[in-house]
Amino acid sequence: MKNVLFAVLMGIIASEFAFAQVSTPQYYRCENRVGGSWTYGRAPYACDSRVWGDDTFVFQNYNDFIFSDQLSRGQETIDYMSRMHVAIDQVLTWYLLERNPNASRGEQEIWRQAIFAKLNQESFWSHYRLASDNRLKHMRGDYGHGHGIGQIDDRWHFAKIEDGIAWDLFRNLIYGLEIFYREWVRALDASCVTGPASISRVRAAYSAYNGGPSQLCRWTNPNARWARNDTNYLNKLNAKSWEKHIQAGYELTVDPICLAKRDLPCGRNPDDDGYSFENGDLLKLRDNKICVYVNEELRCLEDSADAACMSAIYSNVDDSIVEVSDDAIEDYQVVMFERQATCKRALPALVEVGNFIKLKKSINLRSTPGGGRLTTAEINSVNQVLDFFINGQETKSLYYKINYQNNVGWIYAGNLNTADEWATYERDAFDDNALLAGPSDTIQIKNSYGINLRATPGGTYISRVPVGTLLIVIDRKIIGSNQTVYYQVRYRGNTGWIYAGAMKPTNYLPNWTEKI
Amino acid sequence: MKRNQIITFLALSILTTGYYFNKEGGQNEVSLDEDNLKSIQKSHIVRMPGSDNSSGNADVNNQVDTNKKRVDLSRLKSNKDRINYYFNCLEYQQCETIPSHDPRMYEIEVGQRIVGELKELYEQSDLDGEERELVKKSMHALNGHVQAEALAFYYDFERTPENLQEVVQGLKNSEFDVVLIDKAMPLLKEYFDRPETRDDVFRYVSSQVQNGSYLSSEYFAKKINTFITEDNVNEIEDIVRDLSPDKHTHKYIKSALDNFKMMQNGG
Repeated sequence: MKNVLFAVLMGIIASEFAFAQVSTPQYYRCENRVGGSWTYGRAPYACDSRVWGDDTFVFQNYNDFIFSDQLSRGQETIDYMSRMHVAIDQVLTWYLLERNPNASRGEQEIWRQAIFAKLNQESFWSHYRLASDNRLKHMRGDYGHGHGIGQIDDRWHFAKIEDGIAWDLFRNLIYGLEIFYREWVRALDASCVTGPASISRVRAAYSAYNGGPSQLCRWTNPNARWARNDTNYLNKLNAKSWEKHIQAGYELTVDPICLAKRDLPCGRNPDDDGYSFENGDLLKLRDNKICVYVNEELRCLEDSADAACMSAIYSNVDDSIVEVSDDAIEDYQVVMFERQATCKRALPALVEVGNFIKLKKSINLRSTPGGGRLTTAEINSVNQVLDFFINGQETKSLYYKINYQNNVGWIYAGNLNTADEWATYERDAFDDNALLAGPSDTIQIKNSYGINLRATPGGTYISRVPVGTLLIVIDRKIIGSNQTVYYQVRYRGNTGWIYAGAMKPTNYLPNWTEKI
Repeated sequence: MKRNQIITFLALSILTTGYYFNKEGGQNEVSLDEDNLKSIQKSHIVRMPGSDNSSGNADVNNQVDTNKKRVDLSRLKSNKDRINYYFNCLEYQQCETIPSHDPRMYEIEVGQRIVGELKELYEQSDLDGEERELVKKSMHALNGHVQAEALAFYYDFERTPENLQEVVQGLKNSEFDVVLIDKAMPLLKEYFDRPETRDDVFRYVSSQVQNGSYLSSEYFAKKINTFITEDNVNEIEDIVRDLSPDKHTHKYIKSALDNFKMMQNGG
């Protein structure tokens, strides 16, 4: 009888728990949870960051913004908050002006205070923390449902959170601003708001951010279930206690706007026009070229994402990137280098786009290099390389973009020393999911106008191949940073090349041909 | 029983008792805090279906004032009654049986319940006028989960300019919700392929690229190739000219235009 009663009780408890799982359970995917304190950078709780994204990515890109529990608490709080303040201040102002270029000075100022106080109330400006267990953590509040600095809720924004948006500090910040900005705009029409630069607007936007869009005027109701959050928010707005932990003079190693826009890799902005270059300086140009300065010459690749390949061009490249204006480089000659060949020289284990790799272990497939996990690509699976990304001048961490069982994403594939342990080149492989055709494959023309047959890629016109025509691929070339694809084919007695679309920044291959 | 087992048993008993009380309330009744409701709504009339004692089958067209403190949920016989009821829960924040253990839970729970009702409504063969209005209201809700469920109806509805506007307005209401936008893309494309609604879709897409949220502008810039035609290519070129070259939106639209022109001449 005792056992029966216990079983019934447990069944009831379990059913309630199951009901709570309609969305996500508390502390969903939370590993090695640690506590914290209600102080800046250390709000409880925090769970292993690596569950949501690659720690290496965080250390390489967001090192300025990790609170270390292993350092002197008082000084670390000042260092952390001062750096965070510089970054957040720039990003939130940039965001507001992107959305509303005509925002008045008054609105800009009250928006800044609104966001600073929101981050205080939601997370005590906490996001990444290197905890005493030596693991990188990611802050979790509200029974684990709130993720990171903006406390993005995993019940409400589940799909985006799975995609890593809450784990990535700057994506979290932007997503939080997007949500807050909607309420900021809606607040103007709320009966409880008196004007565009009023405290009532700030409070309404926060009520809706914290409680949901229907709760714009929650702050006017002292009997509301969560009225205390509105009161606490107002207290923080008035106290501005974050200012007590911020000191002037802190410089970031990276440009926060670049991080917010995710124009990785990001560098620092020189703060004067008279910056002089030295051999080996790595420069990121306004048009996103990445260049190494050598003897009054800029040796460049088209895409700054390939910065780690620059060591193939010059042996002593500075690891930190400087973002430069057009004026700063106008006196120098620009020499362009070819992407795949350059990167292959920098990292000989690199398997080029269009070729196949065999996985030596099961590897997480992520939405971005180091980002949110989509699935796991199994050991021994053979996959076509659709793109690659190399991170870090010295370590050269390698990531491949693949199409694994119709999930397009990125896998980590080791580094300069370990690449062979992760994935190796697979000659003469076949993959049903391959997006790119190779020699002997059959393709069909999809472009309704047809495709021009030319003597060389982009060269002299021979004839037009009409839509629907089936062709056998003889050879393939992938050219430039947009990865423009050309197939060599034979049509009505002529051998030539047809254009088959660019793969970047958007994949246009399906517009042109289809692999049969 | 050992001491620890006794403590565990007592704790479970207390929890279970509380659970049952809540569960009872959840299934059968909702109490309204009259004074609180009045302070917010002042003289407004609150429509709470199921709070009319005169009928076992609640008439949702009746307006019921706030003096009705208790609502018998079991008397809400239809999906539309319950959807109306839950929307009122959202509007007036007064449904005590909706849990609110953290600040977000209340709205999330109400949203989930509306989603559940919409799923059932979707299985009905025909919608009456009021149900149709509730679908529209759900499409316009500020809740991506509810909107996504409502969107399923619009895939079945006739392709009319009015229905398109309802979808577009809903997407604008949650403009940063690119998951929802992505679910709506095939429908937007269908409307775009119809001459009578092509301009409306293009106006929406181009406005999002230029002035939408950060995430939606980038999303539509990535997908702009879906919406380029010979008729609007000049307009898109104007858009890209106005965008700063260091924006991602510029890069995506520029590449789409290049691809479109290449397709026009065969590459």
